Amino acid sequence: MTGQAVKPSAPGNNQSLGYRLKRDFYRNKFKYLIILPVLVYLALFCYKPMYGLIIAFKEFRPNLGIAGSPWVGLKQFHNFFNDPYFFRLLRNTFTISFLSIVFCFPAPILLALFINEIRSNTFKKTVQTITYMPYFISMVVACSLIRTYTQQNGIVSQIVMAFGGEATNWLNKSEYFYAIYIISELWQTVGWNSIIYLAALTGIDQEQYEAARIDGASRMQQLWRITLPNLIPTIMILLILRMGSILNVGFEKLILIYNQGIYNVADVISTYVYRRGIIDAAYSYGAAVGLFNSIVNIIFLLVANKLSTRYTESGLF
Amino acid sequence: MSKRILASLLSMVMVGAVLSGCSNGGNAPASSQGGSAAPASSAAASGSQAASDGGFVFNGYPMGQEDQVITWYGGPSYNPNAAYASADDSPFHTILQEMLGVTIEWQFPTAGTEATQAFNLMMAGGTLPDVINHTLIKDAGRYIDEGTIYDLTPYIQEHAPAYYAWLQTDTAYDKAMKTDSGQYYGFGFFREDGGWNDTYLGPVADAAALEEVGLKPDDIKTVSDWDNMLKVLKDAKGGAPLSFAKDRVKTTGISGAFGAYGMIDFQLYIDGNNKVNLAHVQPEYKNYLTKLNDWWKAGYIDQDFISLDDTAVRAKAQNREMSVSITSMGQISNWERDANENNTGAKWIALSYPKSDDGNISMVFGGKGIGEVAGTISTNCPEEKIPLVMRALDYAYTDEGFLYWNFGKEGNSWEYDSNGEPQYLPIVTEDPNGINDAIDKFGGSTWSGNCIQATKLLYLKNTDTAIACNDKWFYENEDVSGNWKMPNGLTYTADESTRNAELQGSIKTYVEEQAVKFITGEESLDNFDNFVSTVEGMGLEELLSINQAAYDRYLAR
Repeated sequence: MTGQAVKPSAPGNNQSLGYRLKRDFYRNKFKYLIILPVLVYLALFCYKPMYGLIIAFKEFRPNLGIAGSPWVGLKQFHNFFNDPYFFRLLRNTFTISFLSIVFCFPAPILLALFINEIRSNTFKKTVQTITYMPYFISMVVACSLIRTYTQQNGIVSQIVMAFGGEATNWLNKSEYFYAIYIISELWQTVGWNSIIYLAALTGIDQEQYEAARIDGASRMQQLWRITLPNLIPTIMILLILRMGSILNVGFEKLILIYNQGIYNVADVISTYVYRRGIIDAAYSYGAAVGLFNSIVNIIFLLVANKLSTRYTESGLF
Repeated sequence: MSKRILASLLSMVMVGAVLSGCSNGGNAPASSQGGSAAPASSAAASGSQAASDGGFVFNGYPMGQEDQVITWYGGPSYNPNAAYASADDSPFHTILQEMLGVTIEWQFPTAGTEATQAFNLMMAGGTLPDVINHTLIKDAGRYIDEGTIYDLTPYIQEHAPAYYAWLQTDTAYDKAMKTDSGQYYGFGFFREDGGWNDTYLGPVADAAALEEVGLKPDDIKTVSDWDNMLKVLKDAKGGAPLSFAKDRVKTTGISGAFGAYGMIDFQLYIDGNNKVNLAHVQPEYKNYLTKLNDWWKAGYIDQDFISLDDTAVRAKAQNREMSVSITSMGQISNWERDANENNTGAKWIALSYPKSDDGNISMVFGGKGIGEVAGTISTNCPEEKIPLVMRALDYAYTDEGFLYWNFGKEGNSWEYDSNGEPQYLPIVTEDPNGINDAIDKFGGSTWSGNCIQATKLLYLKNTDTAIACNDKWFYENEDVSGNWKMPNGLTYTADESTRNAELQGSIKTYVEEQAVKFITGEESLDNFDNFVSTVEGMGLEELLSINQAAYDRYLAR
């Protein structure tokens, strides 16, 4: 793929770089124009703020400004690594992230495959609409639903009681937290995330199926031999992107459903940064932890990409 | 690989880049805005405008300075009533400008955001408003040293005479509004009644439910009485008899009966020997939690309380799903109205704060009638404008301004009755959403403000039952309601402030988390000693000595 992307214009090789650039620009000016807004966006909102990251190495005081605040070297990082909660935060973040990759990543693929196999159009549309719907419920409302359902007299307790169990407040118990988190996550996102796979499915060449049918392939065989191999690039790209945000755990959702009783399983890096950095005004500390977060994310992204290009021959770069 | 896939990959990469850009921004929120912080120079630049007016001379209110604009951050205290889209529509905020004779550009945290968060982001963001009202007392000394806010000492006597006179009425007021080095830093919030309304939380019970099981509310005085009451109610009614919103108990609950000083929230207190201590590591605190855990195991305490808020508890009160609670006087007014409107038969009244079986009580929730907020003047305000801004703030402490901040404009929202007392007009009393909601359309002192809160306001706002609740909670325990508290006027040095925040950051998370676990039995109280030694290992001693030093300096002022 990389070989295709960088296609040197063979005849112009002996001409000067400036000339070639000029000609390329002239020839592709509309393409450059189209990409310009994204470049401006990246420069303004992704690269300019990076300057502020230096407060991770400073003791930021608002009225002294970023440049004027005193340097403290790696003190903030040192504080974070020696924080009594460091390992717990890391463990919780990885656990939640890992569980959602294991459960929430394959689910939309399965759903898309199922929907794809449905013959009746009405049924198909109904299933799709119903599964998308929760995605459009505001996070605050969705979380208050979760909280209400898991109360002592909530719907979960009622179901459990019908099977002879005991009512309790499920969100107060550490052992149920991950189940609640993952199940609600599935409910919220599975339909929405399946859209991209459905789109990829429609792009598969129908002639391949026809040929397979003539050769007498069963539906299962078509699924394994045609559908899945065609989906692999999409799946891998999404998986790599997902690995790149391994430490970015759904922060709003956690803030909205956790409580002090289950900090030991539910407190993650981003929620801790929120409480320390924003609520307690430890700006530099928050920035240091955020930077650490990003570095780990990048490492995971690169490793996942490397593995993916090696084994499936599709990757980001 | 086909072209179509290539195209879709490219678009996904771009989406990915955009998304990751968003999350990076979220991780380092402070960094994106801090570049423009240069208050001193911009102050000098915009100062020329005021100077060209040839100085401001005060000739009473209104001051006739409508062409002068004061930017004013109201913080968490007196946001416009929810009925108005912005302060420009709100009667209190617009008429205040008429009364003062200046133009005010109001700023408030967006509805629903956490006040501290809004404040911290504003401070990190650069351009500050002229007036900043926030709970920044503890850091006032640091903010003055760093040049974020003005030291008001040179101006206060000349330009804020009413406020200065008020501060001289009580040394506690004066102390609270000064830093350790004796600099006045802001305009505070005071309650006319002293500590009375600071004890606005306390235990309550549904008298009708108690009567059904043969109990008299007046007989419930000790922990053993509570044991008995909860048991009888549980046996008779089934569900958990004791329920409360977490925010209403997290501070102290009924810890006084056990000789303890806190419940869930990180809580420093001052013992009888003027020593600063942490409530969570005392043996009395263990006794308190042991009792709560017993009640939890027996099913007396609502298992959902950690996630309950006032609205949820109000519904429980209305449906009579609980019989005993701990709540605020304002909520009791609501519950009483609900009960009357729906004829539920519930009769909510105050219980005494319980005492130990031998009649001791270490403390009740309370204070000394001094709020935690202060209206300060930021250094973004040009020096020439200080007298004008001081006068605008001083207004609240004048006789006329006191009435305005509490009740609104005379003839508009209130009038004197035959006894010479302010009484609300129908525009307030007959508001479709009830008087409680209407009061802060016209006044700014309901929660806190840069003013003196009139006791009369609380009497008009709350039902008689609610006032009786507050009376019972406070007058029975007046001597233990405020002395245990770290004074609101305490200030830290810059180094202390940083170190205190570092230490408190981790200790706070730990003790609050463990408190909940001890209550719910997720963590056995047998491990209490381990818990204490963990807290000590997190730097408790240093934390206490920092706070002790700050408190000693406060005493020495």
